[in-house]
Amino acid sequence: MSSKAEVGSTYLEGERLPNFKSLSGIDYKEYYTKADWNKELADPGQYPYTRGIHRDMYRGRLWTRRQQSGFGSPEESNKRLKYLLAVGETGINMDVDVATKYGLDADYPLAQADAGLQGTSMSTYEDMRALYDGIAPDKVSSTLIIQPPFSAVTMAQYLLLANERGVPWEKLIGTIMNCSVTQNVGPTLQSNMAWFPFDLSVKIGYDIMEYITPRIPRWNILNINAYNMRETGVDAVQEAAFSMALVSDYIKGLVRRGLDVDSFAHRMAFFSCAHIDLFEEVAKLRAMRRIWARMLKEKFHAKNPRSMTWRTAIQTAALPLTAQQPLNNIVRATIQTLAAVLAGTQSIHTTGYDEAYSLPTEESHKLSVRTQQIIAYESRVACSSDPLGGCYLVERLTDEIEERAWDLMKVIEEKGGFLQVYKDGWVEERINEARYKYGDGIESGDLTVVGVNKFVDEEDDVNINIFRHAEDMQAKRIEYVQNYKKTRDQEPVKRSLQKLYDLTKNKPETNMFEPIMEAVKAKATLQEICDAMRQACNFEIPR
Amino acid sequence: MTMTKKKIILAKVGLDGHDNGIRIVSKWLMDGGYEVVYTGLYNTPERVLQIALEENADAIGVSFLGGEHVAYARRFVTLLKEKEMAHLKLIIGGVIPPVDVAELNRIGVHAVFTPGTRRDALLSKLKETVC
Amino acid sequence: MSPGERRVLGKQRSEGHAVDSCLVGKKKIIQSVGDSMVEAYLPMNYSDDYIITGVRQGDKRCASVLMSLIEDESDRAEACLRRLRTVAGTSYVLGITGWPGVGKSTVISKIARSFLGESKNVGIIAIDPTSPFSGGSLLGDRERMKEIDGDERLFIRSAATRGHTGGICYATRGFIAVMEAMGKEIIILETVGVGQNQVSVIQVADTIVLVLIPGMGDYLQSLKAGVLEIGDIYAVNKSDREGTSQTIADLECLISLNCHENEWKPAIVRTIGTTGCGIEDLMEAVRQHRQYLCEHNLILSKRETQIKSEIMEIIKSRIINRITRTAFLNGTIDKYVSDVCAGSIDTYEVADEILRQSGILKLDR
Repeated sequence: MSSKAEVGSTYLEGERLPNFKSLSGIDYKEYYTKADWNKELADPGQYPYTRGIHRDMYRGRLWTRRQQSGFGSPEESNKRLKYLLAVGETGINMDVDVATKYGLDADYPLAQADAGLQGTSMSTYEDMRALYDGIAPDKVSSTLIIQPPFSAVTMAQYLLLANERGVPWEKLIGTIMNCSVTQNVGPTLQSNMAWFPFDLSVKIGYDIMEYITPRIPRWNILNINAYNMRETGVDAVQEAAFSMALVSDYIKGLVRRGLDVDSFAHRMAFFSCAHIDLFEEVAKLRAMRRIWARMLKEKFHAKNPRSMTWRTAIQTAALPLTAQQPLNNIVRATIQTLAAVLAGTQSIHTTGYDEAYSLPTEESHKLSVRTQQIIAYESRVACSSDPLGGCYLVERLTDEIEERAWDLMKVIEEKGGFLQVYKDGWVEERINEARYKYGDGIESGDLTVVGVNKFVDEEDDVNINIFRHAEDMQAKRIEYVQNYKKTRDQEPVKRSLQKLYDLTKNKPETNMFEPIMEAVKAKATLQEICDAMRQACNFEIPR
Repeated sequence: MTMTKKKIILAKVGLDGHDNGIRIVSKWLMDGGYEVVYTGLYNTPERVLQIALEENADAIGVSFLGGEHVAYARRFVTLLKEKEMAHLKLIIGGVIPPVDVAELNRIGVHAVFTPGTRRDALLSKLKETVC
Repeated sequence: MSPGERRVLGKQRSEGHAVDSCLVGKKKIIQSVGDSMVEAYLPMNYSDDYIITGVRQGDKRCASVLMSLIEDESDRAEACLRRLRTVAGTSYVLGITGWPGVGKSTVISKIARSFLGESKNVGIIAIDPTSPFSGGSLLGDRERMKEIDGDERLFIRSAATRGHTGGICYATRGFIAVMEAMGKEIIILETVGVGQNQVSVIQVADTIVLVLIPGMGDYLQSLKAGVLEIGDIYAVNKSDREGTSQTIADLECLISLNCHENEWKPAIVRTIGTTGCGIEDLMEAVRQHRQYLCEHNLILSKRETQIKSEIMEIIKSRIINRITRTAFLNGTIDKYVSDVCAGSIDTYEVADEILRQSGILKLDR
C-alpha cells in the first residue's frame, strides 16, 4: 500500500446516473422508436395547439424578455426598470414586497422590517406614478404581480396613472396576476388565509376580472400561478393538474356571473415553471397547451379559437438553484430557458445566479437577459416552430404527462374542485409530502444536486457581488407612509373608506372595483382600504 | 431520573411566510432528542422572547429568507440583553449570504446555518453550541 | 433587574445573609456591571428562596425556572414544591382532552380569552408526546394560541410527556402547584388524549372537557369501554362540518346509557374553535359543572381522590428512583438478566432480591 494515495478517476468503474427517471418519476426508456409514438400531429397554430399557438411562433415575433424586478421604494425600482429596458428587456414584470402582498403599509409594526426587501413597497397612487416615471404605459407591456384583493388597489393605481398620462384604456397592454390561491402557495395555507378572508378575496378577484373584460381589451385579467406551486416541490404532473383545475374553477366562477366564455378566456394566461429536466418540461408545456385547448372546447364550449389558445409566461425554476458554487446556476438557468424556448412560450424570466443569496444585482439581471438573447440570436433554435415536434421521446412524454394530469384533475373535480380542496387542506398535504420527499431525495442522493450532495467543494469560497439595499431604505419608506397619511385631506378618505366598509358589510354582492378605485383616488393607502374591508368582516390580522 | 433535555424555540419573525425549512429543521431537532417549541409564523422578537422566558428555553432559532436577518439579529441581541436573557443561545438560519455570517457572529449570534446545510452537520453544530 | 428582584436580593442582604447564601453551587453573584452581570441572572444561580419568593409574587421567570427543575426531576424541585404547598391552592383546573387534530389548542385559546375577559388570571399547560425513539418532542400547541399570547395575566407552558403514559406528564402536578402559587385562578390543561390514556387527567382536573369532531364514529364506540366517564362536558368542534348532528345523537345515546341518577349529566356543546362560535355555551357548561361540584360538596372529595393518587405517585417515584440508583446502575441488572436466561433464577426472585438490597423490603422475607 503506497503511503501516498494515487488520484484516479471513475472511468474504469464507469460513471453512471443514480436512476433514469424524470423529476416526476416517469421512466426514461433506453431509447424511443416509432413503436412508442406514431400519431398524427396538428400543425403549429392549429387546434389542439400541441405544437404551438402560432404557425410562425418565434419567426414572427420573439418571446418577450420579461425579468421580474422591484425592490425598495418605487423610485429605486424605477431606476432598475429603466436599466433593464436599456439592456434589452422587452416587457415589465413588477413584483411588490411582502408587506404589499399582504395588504399592509410599510409602517405596520410587523411589516416594518420586511418593507421593500423582496419587491417594491407600493402603498399609494403616487407610488405607482413614481414607479412609471419616464416610462410610457402604452409603449411597453406590464405584468403586475399581486393577488386579490390587493390587486384591485394596484390595478386602480395603474388605471389612474393611465388617466393622468392621457392614455386611453384600449391602448394598455399587460397582465394583472390576480390569482388568490397560487401567489402564496410557496408559504403554507395558513399564511394565505391569515391576512384577508379567503372567500372575499376570491370574489374580489372575480370583480376585477369582470370589470376589466369589457373595458381593457388588451389586458390579461389573470395569471394562474403554476410557478409558485411548482416551487413547493410538487412535480410536473401536479403543476399541470393543479393549475388547470384552478383555472377551471375561475372560468366556472365567471360563467356563473353571466359572462360568455369567449369574452374573457383569451385573456386568461398562465405563469409556469421551467425546471431542469429538459425534455419533461418541454413535454409538460406542450401537454398543458393541449389540455387547455381541449378543456375550453369540450368542457366550456368555447367557440372562438382564440379562447382555446394557451398562453404562458415562464420563470426558470429557482428551486434547483444552489447557494453552493453559485456560478453553476448560470448553467442551470440556461438549460431551463432553453427548455422553455423549445416548448414555446410567450415570455421568459431567467432567474439570476444569485437567487439563493438575494435579489439580483444589475450584473446578474443583465446576464439573465443576455442568456435569452444568446439563445434567441445565436443558437438558431428559434428558427422553426416546435423543433422537437415528432421526436418520439418528447411526443411520448407529452402524451404521458397529459394523461396523468387529466387523471389527477378528475380526482380534484370529484373532491369539489381546486378551490375546495385547497381550503380543505388536501393541496397542503400534497405539498408537504413533496417537500419531505425532496429533502429526503437530497439526503439519500437519489436526487443529485451538483455542489450540494455531489461534486461538493470542500472550501467553498463564494466570490460574487451580492445585492444590498440602501441603508435607510426602510426608514424612509416608513416616514413616507406616515407623512402621507398626515398631510392629505382626510375627509374624502374617511368617506371612501366608510363606503367600502358599508358595502362589504351590507351589500356584499356589489362589484368592489370602482369603490376601491375611488378610495385610491381619495388618497387612501393600501392598508387602509384593506382594513376597512377586514373590519367589515370582523377579520383580525396577526399583530 | 430523567436526563435534562434541551429546549429550543423555533420561530419565524416578521412577514415572511416560507416555513418549509424551519418545519423540516424542527422535525430534525425532535429526532435529535430536543424539545422543540414551534411557534409558527408572524411573530415579533418581543413575543419570541416572552415565549422563551415562559418555556425556560436554552436556545432560540429563527429563520430568514428575505434579507432581513441582520436587522433582526441586532434587535434580538439587544432585547436578550435588556430582558436579562443573554444566556440563551441565538441561532439563525435561512438565506444568509456567507459574507454576512461573520457580521452576525460579531453582533452576537451563536450559530448561523446557511442553505443546503445537511441534517448531521446541523445537529452536531447545534450540540456544540447549545449543550 | 426588575424592582421585584432587586427587592428580594436586597432583603436577603439586609437580613445578614451573605451574598453567597443566595446561591446553589459555587458560582458567585458578581456585582460589577457589563458582561459579567450575565452570571448574576443565570437561572442556574437562583436560590430556592429567590425562586419561591418570585413565584409567590407571580414572577414568570422564577416560575419558569422552577417548572424546568420539576421536569428534570431534580431534588431541588421537591424542596421548593414542599415549601410552596404551604400556600393553599385556590385554582380551578380545567382539563381539555381529545384526539390529535380535533382543535383543542384553538378551543383553549378562545376559552382562555374569555376568562381573561372576565379579568381572571389564567395559566395554560400544553402537553405533547415525547418520541419514544429519539426522546425529543415537537411542542406545537402554542402556535395556535397566538391571539392571546402576550397578555400579562396569562402564562403558557408547553411540556413533553417524557415517557410517562396517561396523557399528562409527571411534572403536571408540580406545574399546577406552581401556577396556583403564582395566583392563577384558572389553569387549563391540554392533554395528549388518545383513548384509554386519557384516564389520568382525572387525577388532576376538576372539570374535564372531551373535544371531538364530527364523524368520529369508531372513537365513540371505544368510549363505551369505561373511558366515557371522564368527560364532564363534550365539545363537538368543527361543528360546521357534516356529520355533527349524527355525532351528537351518538353522544346522547352513550351518555344516557352510562349516566346514573343523582349524578352530573355530561353536557354537549357545539363549537367552531376557529371562529369562536359556541365558546360561550362551553363556558356556560363549565360554570354549571363547577357550580354543581360546589353545591354537592364534590370539590373536597375530588381533592381527596387526587391527593390519594398523588401520594401513590410519589411512593412509586421514590421506589423507582431508589432502585434506579442501585440495581439499574452500572449494569448490575445485566448480571441478573443473564442468570434468568440461564435458568438459575426467576424474575420474581430477582425483583425481591433487588428490593431487599435497596432496603425497601426487609431481609428476612
